[in-house]
Amino acid sequence: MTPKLLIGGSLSFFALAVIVIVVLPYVQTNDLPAWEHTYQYSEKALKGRKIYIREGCWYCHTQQVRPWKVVEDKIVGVPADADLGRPSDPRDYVNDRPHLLGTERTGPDLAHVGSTKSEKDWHIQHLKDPRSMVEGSIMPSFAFLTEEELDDLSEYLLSLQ
Amino acid sequence: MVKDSASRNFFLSAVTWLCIATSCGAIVALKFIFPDWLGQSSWLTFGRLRPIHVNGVLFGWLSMAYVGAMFFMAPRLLKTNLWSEKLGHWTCHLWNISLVLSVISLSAGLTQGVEYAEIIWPIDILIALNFILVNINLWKTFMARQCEHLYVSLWYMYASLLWTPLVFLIGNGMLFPVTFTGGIASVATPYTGVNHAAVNWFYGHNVIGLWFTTVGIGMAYYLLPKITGNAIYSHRLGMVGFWTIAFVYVWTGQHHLLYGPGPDWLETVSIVFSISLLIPVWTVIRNFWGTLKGKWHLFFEEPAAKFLILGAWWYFLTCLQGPLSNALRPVSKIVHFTNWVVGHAHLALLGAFTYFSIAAIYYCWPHITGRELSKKFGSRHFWLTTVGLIIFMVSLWIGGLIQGTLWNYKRIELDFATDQVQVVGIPFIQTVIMMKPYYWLRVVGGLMIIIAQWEFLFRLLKKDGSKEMESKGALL
Repeated sequence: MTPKLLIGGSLSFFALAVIVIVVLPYVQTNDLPAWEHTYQYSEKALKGRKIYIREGCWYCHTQQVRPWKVVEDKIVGVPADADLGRPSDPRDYVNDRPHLLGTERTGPDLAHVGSTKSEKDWHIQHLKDPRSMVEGSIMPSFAFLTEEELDDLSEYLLSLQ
Repeated sequence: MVKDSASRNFFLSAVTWLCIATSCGAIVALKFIFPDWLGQSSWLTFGRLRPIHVNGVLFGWLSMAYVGAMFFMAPRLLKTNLWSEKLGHWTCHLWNISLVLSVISLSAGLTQGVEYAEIIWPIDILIALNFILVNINLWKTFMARQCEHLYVSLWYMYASLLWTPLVFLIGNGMLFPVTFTGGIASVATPYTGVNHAAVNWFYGHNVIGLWFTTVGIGMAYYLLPKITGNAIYSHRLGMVGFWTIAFVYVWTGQHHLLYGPGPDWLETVSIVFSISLLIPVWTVIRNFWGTLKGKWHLFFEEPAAKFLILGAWWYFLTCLQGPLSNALRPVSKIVHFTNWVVGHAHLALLGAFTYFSIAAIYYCWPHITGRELSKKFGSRHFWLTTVGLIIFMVSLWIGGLIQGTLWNYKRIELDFATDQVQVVGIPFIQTVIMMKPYYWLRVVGGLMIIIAQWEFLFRLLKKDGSKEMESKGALL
């Protein structure tokens, strides 16, 4: 094998794949229109989102509900997500930068946590002392955050509806 | 500059980062059982230590070990010397500086918030520069080659050298990092929402596929004939394996997001290519077993052979597990988001590629320093790591399967008051509490691995502890 073939071959294979699986999805999905369920963040919630990123909440919590529906008393799709609420849609995330879809559920999915737990005080107390609110929880305590930071973070969680 | 000294420095730095990063991993693992432990100050919390563990292992341990191995192997295969030992030394310093800066910034909570790409962009530029310097050094070496024939290891290594900086740049969005809002320039990712997730896993999977896998296989192809004394079983298979992996691997990233909100066609493409991965994997494994023919007994004699042979088995296993479990929709339904996937990630990085890297160090070290690590230690190192790894992975796989099964167990109830159908599952917290014994087993296995690596580091550092080589003849 000649060096020319090595360089040319490996780079053109790579380029071909990049065109199909990086460039095409970019054109197709990077600038989607918002819709009624798009996550909307106030300035305060955006501050909270930065804290959510900084403290690595996204390592243990996903923000995506996989598709499911009930057809004639049977769950079609992913049964695991059938009690997590409305399945996610690509347009939900147009304001998300970076994305926080997540890959692990060490803790529960948070795609609709703002609807299922809608009281701010609950969130603040839970962040400070998780085990006082949920027995057996292994979430770390975030008592080291300032009151303002806890308030911002809770505001963000409430905006996940 | 002494020959191979850059390679030696890369190896020593790599093993140092291995010890640091895996120790962070142990602290993180213990926090699953004692969530309040070391949680009072922000920089010791789970969210800060986890990226240090992951990035330390990826860019500290494995990447530096790979560069050390390439600095050793590529010049020998090209029948020349490394173009510049001096540049190699400076690259090593710069690499360590960028890692120290990464640890500091990650501890401070500075993160891009993207898995495998947490490190912030100014340090990303430094890391990209490191890869470019390694490229310059090795391509200059390539141009000074004194041979016509290019051995299969060289294809894997030099192709990876081209791919990796590109993958890194695309993944970190650095091709166009500056966005303008209201006339003010700010640095942010150009990607949004589901597209960002797709780019994230294009990057995450190809750092594994086009760097850790391909350089790892290149190293194994170098070590196998050297350690066994057999010629490589089939050059043609080597070529088929290389071109299929070069073509197939790039497309598979979206299988991390099966049933996700991204485009379905992209998921299907990733599944098709993930299954196709079985072709290059089979060619590599067939070639390995063919080359090992009649030499399996070396497993019981040489530490390097131990790590290399079991590493190849781990590689085989991880490449069956990846396509057949994680990348198929019906199975992904069960195992996605569970600890099964965590076990799989460790099988690839801590099993296959760490084993190949350790085998490379055992093989190269006597040639670089004239000193050999004792076989007794080699054996202890191998068995502690291996038993630890098996406990670690199997507990996560079993725990993960139970998690996945419980999550999928749902019943439909009819609420008579509202006449609405309701789906009821097992309360999530029960699946958290259930994991406790498996989290414990992970800590036990992990600690066994870590103890072995610390002793490895001390033995490499100790000047008089490892016995002087009496005859290098057999190995050379």
